[in-house]
Amino acid sequence: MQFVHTIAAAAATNSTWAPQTLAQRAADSAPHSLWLTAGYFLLAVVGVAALLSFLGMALIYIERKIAAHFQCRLGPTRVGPFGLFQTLADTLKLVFKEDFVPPKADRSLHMLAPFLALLVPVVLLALIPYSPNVQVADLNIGILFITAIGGFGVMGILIAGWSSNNKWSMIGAMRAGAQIISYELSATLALLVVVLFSGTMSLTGIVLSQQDGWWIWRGHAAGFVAFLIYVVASTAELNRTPFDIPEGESELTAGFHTEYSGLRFAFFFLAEFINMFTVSALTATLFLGGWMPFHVGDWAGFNAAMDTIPPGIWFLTKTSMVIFVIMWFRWTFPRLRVDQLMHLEWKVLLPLGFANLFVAAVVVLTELYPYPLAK
Amino acid sequence: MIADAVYTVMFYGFSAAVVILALAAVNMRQLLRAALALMGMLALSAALYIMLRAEFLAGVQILVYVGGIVVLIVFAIMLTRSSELLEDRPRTLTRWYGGVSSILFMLVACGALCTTPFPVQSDAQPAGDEVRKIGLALLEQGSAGYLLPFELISLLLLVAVIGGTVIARKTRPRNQPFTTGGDLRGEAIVQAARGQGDVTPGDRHS
Amino acid sequence: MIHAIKVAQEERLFAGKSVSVAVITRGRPPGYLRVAFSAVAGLLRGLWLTLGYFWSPEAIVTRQYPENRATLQLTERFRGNLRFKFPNEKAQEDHAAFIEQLAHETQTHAHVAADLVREENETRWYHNCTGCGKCQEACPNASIKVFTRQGEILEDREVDRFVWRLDSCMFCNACVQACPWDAIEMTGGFENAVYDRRLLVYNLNRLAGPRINYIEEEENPEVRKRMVERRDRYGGQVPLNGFALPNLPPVPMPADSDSRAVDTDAQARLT
Repeated sequence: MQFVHTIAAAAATNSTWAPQTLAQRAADSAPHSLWLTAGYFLLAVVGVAALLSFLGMALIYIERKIAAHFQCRLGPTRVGPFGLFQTLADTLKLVFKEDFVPPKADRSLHMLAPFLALLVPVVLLALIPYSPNVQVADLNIGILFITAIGGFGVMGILIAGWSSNNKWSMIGAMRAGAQIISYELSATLALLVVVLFSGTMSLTGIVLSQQDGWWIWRGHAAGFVAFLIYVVASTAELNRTPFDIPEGESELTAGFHTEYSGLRFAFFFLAEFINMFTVSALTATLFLGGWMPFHVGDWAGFNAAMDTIPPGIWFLTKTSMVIFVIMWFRWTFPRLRVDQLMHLEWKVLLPLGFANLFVAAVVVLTELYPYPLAK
Repeated sequence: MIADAVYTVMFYGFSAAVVILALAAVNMRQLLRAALALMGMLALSAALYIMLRAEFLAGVQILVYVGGIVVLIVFAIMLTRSSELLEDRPRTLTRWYGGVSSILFMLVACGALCTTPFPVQSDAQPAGDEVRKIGLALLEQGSAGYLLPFELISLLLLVAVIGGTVIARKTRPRNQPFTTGGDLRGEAIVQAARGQGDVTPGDRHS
Repeated sequence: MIHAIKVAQEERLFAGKSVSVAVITRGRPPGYLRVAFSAVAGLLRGLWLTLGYFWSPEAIVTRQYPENRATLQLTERFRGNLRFKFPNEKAQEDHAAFIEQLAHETQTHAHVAADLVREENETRWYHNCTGCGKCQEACPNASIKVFTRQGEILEDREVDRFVWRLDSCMFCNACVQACPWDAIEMTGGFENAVYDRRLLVYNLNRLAGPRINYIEEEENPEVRKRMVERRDRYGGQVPLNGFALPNLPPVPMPADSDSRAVDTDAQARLT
């Protein structure tokens, strides 16, 4: 009993979150010390860069291990303990490989495309709230910005396919473009449901709005359906199996990055995996409460116990669960045909998304939440 | 003080880049590169909007122009063979027309800019609920609201969508299942399957 | 798409006779929702199955090769290196026993003891091959070359050198299937890495001579001995076979007991 009281006391100080982003700190410190501002700026840049490289390596290793175990194999075991340094070795190999540009390719665009592809995930990494105090910038148009940037990401792929001067690359790029633009609609509709529920577009605001329960179950069926639609649509936006027709190996060799080698290929690869992380992190943030611990209505003791787990751990756990599910999809489902893909989006997901948005609006207007908002 | 200087430098840097990219978009003869320059110019003007604290506008700018329109333009260029061709050099007469009319337009625009009083709010602090305000204004029916234009634009887009669908639709006779263009044998097989025509099994494999 | 199919037995009249026939009627195709639900159920079943694989470590089929070398077991049908069958079981067993005894006496491992043996019982290498060349004809890659000679005793064709080119073999097993005498087989051997590709062309037979049954028909051991002649792994008429090529240094021989024994012989022959 004493234990529960201690936890409750700890939680009482913890229950009001005061999130603070790096950008905010920099702005606050600007009148006092410019060096501090510059320091925060540098911290943000270095932090994102470090996260980028670490996530790239870690995710590739994890994907290989998980894929192996889904296929009754062991995966990398040789380089370092449990094969931990396998990705490092592969990266070194890619760095030292020849960076080949096809003779008839559009050279400058060919060089530019991987950077464009990598730009989007890097920007998104800066917007994700990892923890109340770990976030680079929190825009009040967060979700709008994420959607907008997502459309920007198509350009890298399109230009890569175009500039390679190769039929397969071109077809892969066009497929990727059509697919991403189509599925963006469904993903946006699913995001709108969360915006409707939480009444804000800022990511931290959305996390804070889930203090009484995550939107996936607090929004009744609408939240859950939106979650499903978002997971499916964002898997399609990632060009991952079962939606990987842009790089269907059996028909297009490697799709838009067929003609890429060495470091530039590594950039596409990295962008793909970082995109997977950002999508999973956004799913966790929007539907699963982000860094917010698991709370059930007015069960004070239970909520207090949950609050003792640091928010960063909550975020990591939720994100890695979503990542696991996306990988699980990849190693289970067969690839869709192009017409099936378009059928799924335009005739299933999109109408479902509209209907779901309508239901969500009804839920919000009638305030039919399982638990009232703490005000 | 230094922050202001940095702000000014960034503003002029972005502006210069926007102007250069806009010129490139007009002058480049390779269509795809012109489209890319357009994309860069639109993205950088979004950066200018952010500097002016109009974040929603910046987001919409990137969403609609960069993610939508430029991607569409790039798609159109890639789907046609026009990208292999270079744009024709304009004739001398066309150049003169263009030059004179653009200079006139610039004069008019500059005149309008110089004579219009802009009430400068030096310490403009945008409301935190910018998005909410915009949303409410879009749905307001009164004189300050934008409900009518909003609905009109929806109607226009609906017309465009339906028109696009009609144009892109494959025309085929009524009550006929889809077959690849003019496949008469396929028609015959379908007829036979319905018991209306007659196709011997050998015909299907011939 | 799953259609409900019903099968019923009926009696029907065919040419005045009552014949019982199976009548198959196809029901209405399932509706949209039902198809959607069955599709989702199928996807979930798939996910459940792969999760089972993911979760159970005993499902892993990977063999950690160099570590499990001592216990490695390949399936019987694995098609590895081609080998001659040496059907004289008695001699094989004797040889194995001899090696074991030698190892015991010299307090070493069996493979070291095997190295020490220079003069072996020739009867151990009696083979089934008649030199007919069917395998050579059957080989799609021309990886087999059978050299024959005219035997002194039997005055008939017999195998001289059976040369197999591992470097161009694709392990299709056609030679084994073509052999009318059951003289060759595919084994589980697959560790073929060498530093000089000349080592990938070698003789399979250890004796030039007639088929085992012709030798065993002969009673006189002296004549038997004259019927066969020792052949080593490398050397012979084929280019690349061995190390007798102009302008190339001698091949570094692998640390394999058989070939090392041959190595000295061949060096002696070269000089």
